[in-house]
Amino acid sequence: MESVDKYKERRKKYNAYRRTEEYKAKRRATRDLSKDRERWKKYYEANKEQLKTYHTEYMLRPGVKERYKELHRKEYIEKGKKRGLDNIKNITDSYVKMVLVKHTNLTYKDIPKELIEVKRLEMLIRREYLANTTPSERFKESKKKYLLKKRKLLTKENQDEKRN
Amino acid sequence: MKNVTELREQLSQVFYELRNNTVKHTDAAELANIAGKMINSAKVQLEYYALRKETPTISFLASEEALLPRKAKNESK
Repeated sequence: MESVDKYKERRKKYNAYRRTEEYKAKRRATRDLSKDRERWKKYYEANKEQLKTYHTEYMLRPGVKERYKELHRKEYIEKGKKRGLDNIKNITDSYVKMVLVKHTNLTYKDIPKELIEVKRLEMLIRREYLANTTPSERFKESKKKYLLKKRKLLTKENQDEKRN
Repeated sequence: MKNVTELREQLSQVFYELRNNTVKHTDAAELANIAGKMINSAKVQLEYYALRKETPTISFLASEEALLPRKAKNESK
């Protein structure tokens, strides 16, 4: 028979081994997560209300929310950045609303759906134009327009002078 | 273009043509620029009413479907 001291020592060693990264990695690799998920689903459906109340109560404890925020701050920031970039890429409703609301006293609720759709189309066309033209081409175009405007103004001034 | 719906149809057509290379990019950009001006004017109108805390139906923003029952009512009168 194994003595109590020997057993305790063996147990201590085993517990120390369980805390190592090597053991955790091994467990992660061999663990069947689908079974765990099923078990958790069953447990959650059986105790839905209790779990919800426990969670809300837990989150209301002083300092808990702050701790979670601090823990996941980086994650939240990265997620937010990614979401923002996706919104810009796909021209989602929220992004269009944000553009329309910028530098005004309007709120998101004030903007009708029709306006969002039109603005989205306008953005699409502008993006297409920017993607298919080079900055030098755009500069040439703007210069052409400016010269035309100037010529028109000059002719108008000449006509006015003649009249006077 | 009297309505937002008409403007949308026009813009979608321009975008479709732009994709098929039947319209010049510069022309399409000009149209988009004009559309942007129209949108901005509608936005200013919205802002004005929001500041006055009023909610009237803006004829430019109201879609045809929303205007139909009104027309029918006016005709019956």
